[in-house]
Amino acid sequence: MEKMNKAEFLAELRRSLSGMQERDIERSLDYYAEMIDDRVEDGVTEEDAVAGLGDINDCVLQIMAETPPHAVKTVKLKPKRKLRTWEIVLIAVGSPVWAPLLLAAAVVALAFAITAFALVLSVFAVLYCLVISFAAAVVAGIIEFLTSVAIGEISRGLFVLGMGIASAGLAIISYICAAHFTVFAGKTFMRAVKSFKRRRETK
Amino acid sequence: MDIQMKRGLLDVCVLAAIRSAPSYGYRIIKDMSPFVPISESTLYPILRRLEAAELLTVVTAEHNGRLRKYYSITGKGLDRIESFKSDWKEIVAIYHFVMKDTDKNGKEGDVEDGKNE
Repeated sequence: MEKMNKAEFLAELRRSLSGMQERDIERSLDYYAEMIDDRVEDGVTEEDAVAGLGDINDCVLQIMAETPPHAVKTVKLKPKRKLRTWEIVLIAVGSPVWAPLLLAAAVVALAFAITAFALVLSVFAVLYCLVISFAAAVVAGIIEFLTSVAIGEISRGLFVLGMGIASAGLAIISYICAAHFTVFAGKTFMRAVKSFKRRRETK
Repeated sequence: MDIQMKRGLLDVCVLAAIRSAPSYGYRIIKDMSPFVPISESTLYPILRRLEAAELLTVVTAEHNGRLRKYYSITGKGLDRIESFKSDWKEIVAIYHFVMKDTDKNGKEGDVEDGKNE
């Protein structure tokens, strides 16, 4: 590695830090300028003072260490340029943190989707089961009524007929509920698909 | 040394370096070097962190026609040194516990060394 003077070092440092907030860049440049000046005042040459600071990438990494995460946001807003050294370092260093987090978020989102789907499905199942079972009760009531009348047990026949009519009422109510829910679920689903499509088109 | 442990220790070392009088970056490094060698790049985040935590304050003053930052300890910083002292007793106790065990098992531990500190 060739020897750098103070100006070259600071320029290189600024280049590596670009993308960070200007205030943070200025602070770190001031710090390193002061360090070089103090080393020179202590009797070393400018080049040796710079060399004594060690690897510039290490300087960048250490500056990053105490920079709040809003600096990372600045990076994301400028996608059309090559990643700076410190950004690559940050992404690599952070990968044990963000990779599992991202995975966990994806898994949670998937779990929510599955749960919501299962919930809708189970409501469908319950409503249509009610319709079918009440309808079946109506049929059973009529058959029971006819057989009871045939064998002469009129009162028993009337009782099951009454039950059958009640079942018919419940079947109608539950069918109305089921139909409404079907329409509602269908509309919601279509709306979600439409908004998803629209969002993709605007991108 | 374990990074987390070293981080905490260096914080206290830097505070100790400015305890008696305000000091500047290069001076802090020089004062620390016989005990704890530390580089400029390592010191930078420590100073930022301590400033953010209000354990020290920064004043810019002129020196030889240029600006230099002087760091002075705050009351909170002094408290931090005090709490380190009491933490240290715990660490020594843990050290003794760990070394006692290795001493029994393989004679490789040196309990006396720990006691003298």
